[in-house]
Amino acid sequence: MDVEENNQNLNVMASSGATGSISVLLHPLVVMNISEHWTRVRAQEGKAQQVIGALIGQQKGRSLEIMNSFELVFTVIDNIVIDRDYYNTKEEQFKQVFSDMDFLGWYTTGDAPNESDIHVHKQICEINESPVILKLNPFTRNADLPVTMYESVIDLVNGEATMLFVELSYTLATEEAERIGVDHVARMASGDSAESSQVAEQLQAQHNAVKMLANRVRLILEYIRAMERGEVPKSHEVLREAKSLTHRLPVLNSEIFQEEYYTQYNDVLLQTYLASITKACHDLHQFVTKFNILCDRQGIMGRRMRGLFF
Amino acid sequence: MSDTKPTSFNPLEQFVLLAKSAKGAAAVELIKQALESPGVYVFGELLDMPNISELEIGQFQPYYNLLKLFAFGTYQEYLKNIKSLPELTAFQQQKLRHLTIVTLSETNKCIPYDMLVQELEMKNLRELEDLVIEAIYGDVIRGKLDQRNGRLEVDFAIGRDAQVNDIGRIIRTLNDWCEACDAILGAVETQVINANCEKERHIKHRATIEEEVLNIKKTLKSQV
Repeated sequence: MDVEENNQNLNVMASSGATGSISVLLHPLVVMNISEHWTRVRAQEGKAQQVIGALIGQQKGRSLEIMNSFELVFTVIDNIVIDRDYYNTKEEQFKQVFSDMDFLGWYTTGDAPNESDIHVHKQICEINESPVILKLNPFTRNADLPVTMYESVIDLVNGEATMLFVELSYTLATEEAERIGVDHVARMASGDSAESSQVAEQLQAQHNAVKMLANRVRLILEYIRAMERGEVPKSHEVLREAKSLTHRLPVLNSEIFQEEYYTQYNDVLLQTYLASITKACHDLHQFVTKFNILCDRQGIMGRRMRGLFF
Repeated sequence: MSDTKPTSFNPLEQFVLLAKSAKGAAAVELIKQALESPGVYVFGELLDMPNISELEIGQFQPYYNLLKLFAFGTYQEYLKNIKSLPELTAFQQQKLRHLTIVTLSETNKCIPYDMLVQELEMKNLRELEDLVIEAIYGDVIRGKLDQRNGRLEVDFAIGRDAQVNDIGRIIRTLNDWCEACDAILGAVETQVINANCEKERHIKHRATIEEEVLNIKKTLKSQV
C-alpha cells in the first residue's frame, strides 16, 4: 500500500499543464545553507538525519525567486510535525531583516518525495497556500546538482482528491557576491592547498583568464582567415570591428608605462628582499639564543665540552 | 531621411537599399546624402553596390572618387585633389576631418597637437579642440585631451572601411596576439610548476630535518 502511494506521489507531469508557467530562480546561497544544515546535524548527531527548513524569497507574478532559507524545528510523532511557534517567531525575525521576502516554500533532504513529505506539505499549506518543495539529495554520486523542486497539485486519483507533486524546472540565479563565494568554496573543495603554493593558485586564475582571451581572439582570427579565403561572405561590419580592435592593441608601449612598471617591479622586489632579510634575522636571533642557552648549560656542567662547538 | 539610430550600420542600410534601385544621377544624390548624414562614417557596403561602382567610369567619376576618399582617405588627400573633386559642405568637411583623426590614431595612440593642426588644416587650437570634442561625442573616437603636453590620447576609434590589403594586416596582428597569449600561458604554466616544485622541495627538506631531530632526540634519550 505504501509503495503504491509512493509511486503515485511522483506524478511526473514534467511541469506541463497549469503549473508549467511558474518559473523558479534559485540562489546558490539556499543550496549552501541546506547542505550546511544537513552537514551540521550529521556531525552533531553522529548519523545522517532528515532536515527540514523554510524557503523565503520574492514572488513576482508567476516567477519565484528563492533567495534565502532558514531551519525549522520539527518533532517526530508517527509523522513529522512542524513546530508552528518556532516558525512564527523566526518569521517575525526574518520580516524585520528581510522585509520584502515572503515565505515561499520549504526544503528537506532525501531522495524522491514520499508520504511524509505530503504530510509535512499539508502542514505548510496552512501557512501559505501553495508552497514549493525543494529536495536535496546528499547521497548522490553524480556531478549534477542533486536539487529538485516540486509543486503541489490537487488531483483526482481513484475518485478522491489527493495532493500530488509535480516536478518544476528551476534556474540558478547568481549575484556577484554569491558567485565569488561559490567559486571560493568550489576551489577549496577541489584543490589540495597543501600541495600547491599560493603563488600557483593566483597564477592559475590569471592562466584561466588569458586562456579565455586567447580562445576568443583565435575565433576571430579563424573567422577573418575564412573570410579571406572566401569561405565566408565578406562582412564589412566584422572587418571594421576587427580593424578597430587591432588598432587598440599596442596598449602598453609608451615610455611612461615602462618607467612606472620598472619602478613598481623594483619596489616589490625590495619589499620581498626586506621581508626575507627580516625573517633571516629572526631565525638567526633564535639560533643564537638557543646556542647561548646550550653553551651556558654545557659551561655549567663541563668547560672542556665547549671546545667541540668551535 | 532621418537617422535616429546612433549606430552607423543601420543608417547606411537605408542608403544601401535605396542604392539598389538608383542609377546615375540618383546614385550621385544618394552619395551626397550619405556623406552628409550625421551617423554614417563608413561606406563600405555602399561602395560594393553595383550601381555605385558603375559611377567609376563616366561623368560622375568625381563623386565616386569622393566616396572612396571618405571611405579610405584623409583630409590631406582631399586638399591635394581638391580640383578634381566636387565641393564639400562644411559638415562633410568636418566628417572628413573626424575620419582623418581615426586614421592618424591607427599609427600612434598619442597624437601631438601639432600633427593634428597640420593634417587637418585647423587655424587654432580652440577649433581643433572643438573638433576633437565633437568626434568624441559622436563616438567616433574615445580618448583624452592632454592639453598640458599638447596631445590627444586615443583609447578607441571606430574602424574605417577595410581595404583588401588591410585584411592581411589584421590577420597578422591577430595572429601575433594569439601567439603572445599562448606564450604567456606557457610562461605562467612554467611558473606554476616551478612554484609547486619549490614548495614540495621545501616540505621534503623540512620533513628530513624533523626526522633527524627525532632521531637525535631518541639517541640522546637512550644515552641519558
